[in-house]
Amino acid sequence: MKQLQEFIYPNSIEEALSFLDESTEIIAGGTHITVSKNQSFKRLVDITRIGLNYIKKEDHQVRIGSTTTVTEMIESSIVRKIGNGILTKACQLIADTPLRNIITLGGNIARYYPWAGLPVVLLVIDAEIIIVDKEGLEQTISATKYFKNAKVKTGEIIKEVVFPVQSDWFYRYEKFALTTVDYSWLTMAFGAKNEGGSIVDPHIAVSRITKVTRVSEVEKLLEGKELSKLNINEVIQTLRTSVNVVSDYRSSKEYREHLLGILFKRMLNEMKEEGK
Amino acid sequence: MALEIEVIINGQQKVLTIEPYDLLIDVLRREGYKSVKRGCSEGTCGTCTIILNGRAVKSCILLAAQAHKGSIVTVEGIGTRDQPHPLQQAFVEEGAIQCGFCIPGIILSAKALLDNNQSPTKEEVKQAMDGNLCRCTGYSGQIKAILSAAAMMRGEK
Ligand SMILES: Cc1cc2nc3c(=O)[nH]c(=O)nc-3n(C[C@H](O)[C@H](O)[C@H](O)COP(=O)(O)OP(=O)(O)OC[C@H]3O[C@@H](n4cnc5c(N)ncnc54)[C@H](O)[C@@H]3O)c2cc1C
Ligand code: FES
Ligand code: FES
Repeated sequence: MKQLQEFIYPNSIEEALSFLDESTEIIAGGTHITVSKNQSFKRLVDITRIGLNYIKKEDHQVRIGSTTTVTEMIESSIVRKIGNGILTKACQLIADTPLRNIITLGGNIARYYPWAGLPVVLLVIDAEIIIVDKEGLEQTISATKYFKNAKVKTGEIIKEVVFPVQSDWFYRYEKFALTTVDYSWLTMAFGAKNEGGSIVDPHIAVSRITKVTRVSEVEKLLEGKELSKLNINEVIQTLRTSVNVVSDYRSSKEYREHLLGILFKRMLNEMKEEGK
Repeated sequence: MALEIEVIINGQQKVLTIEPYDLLIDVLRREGYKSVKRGCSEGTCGTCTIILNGRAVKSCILLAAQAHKGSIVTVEGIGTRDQPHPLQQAFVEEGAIQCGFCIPGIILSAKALLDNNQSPTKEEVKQAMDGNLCRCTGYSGQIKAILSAAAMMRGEK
């Protein structure tokens, strides 16, 4: 990192924005900045002192500032209400205690890290990401759009994430790993409404085995289906073929497809049980 | 371009001249805090754990510049040979130390826990220690020692 010449501590978003250019990188927790190779930035701008550390409860939604740490989210009783606890659960399964003490919400979603735990949660909860652009204007982007192709660009700052609180929804989150502190092998989340025994507005998101994505084919298949008559094996089959699963050195494509089916089957069965 | 940071280390106010790319672990060791150990250099093993602003963090994946205006605690600041911290005392009594390389980090993760939670459960101890690897002891003695130190600190022992 010897190319780094300057480290700046701005006091406000406006001041931080004024320093951003092609040779500058934002630093929040710094846990990725410090270990990533091939860096070319000459200047780092520390955004942890510009007032973006907060968890605010509003009517039917919660605003979390981008430099809020994973530990702060775990300790918050307000966060526990988001997605009936799946945001808290996802936070608890990120890395380990001393890392959770510094990893930030913004740092976990700014880039499409395949191992990151929070993107799938934002996707199934329909969170909105508020980005401040070069001119200082706030843009609101849905998580679905953000993770498809609208990642934060050079010169912009993720200010906060807005999470709707819908306590009548069914939500599940799963990170499959060999130990609690292991990197994820497969990350997945599911959210849907149960209206009179039928699935309404299903949201399915997966990552690690593919670039983080929603699985719209299966969402369409599930829409309006009666839980008691659901052919789970057919759903699982469609899920396995509609996700473009890639292999890596730890597990084959076949293993991951199998795992994907098992995890989702469990979620659907739990939704059935809960609906009774 | 060198810059100056103000930090409090083990209660002492310091102004340190650093390079923007210096890692916190390197600056602390350079300043003589040799209890801060380098294991993996990539945030996995926990031997470099320190307490920053009341929380356990890994100093190998933090830039020293990030600690500006912060308060740091290392093992040098929590006990001496003659007057060990209750955690150090309990580790000796339980025989929870073998090679010792992981111990400074382990003690600081445990201290950060006990400073915030006087009566942790075994599960809470395990979770607080999940970022610190020990290749020798198998952890159970360490967990016992931490629970025993908690009791000492509550005045029950
Ligand atoms: C050993 C280890 C294990 C880990 N295990 C897991 C795990 O199991 N699950 C998991 O989810 N994560 C895990 N992580 C963390 C993850 O890989 C990233 O390091 C982390 O999410 C980065 O967050 P940060 O706040 O430290 O960001 P930084 O390192 O400060 O920044 C990361 C990137 O995001 C940009 N950025 C940060 N904040 C903003 C913002 N507000 N606006 C615009 N851009 C921004 C930065 O410019 C940089 O490019 C692990 C990390 C380590 C070191
Ligand atoms: S040396 Fe810092 S975690 Fe291993
Ligand atoms: S005592 Fe040897 S690594 Fe823990």
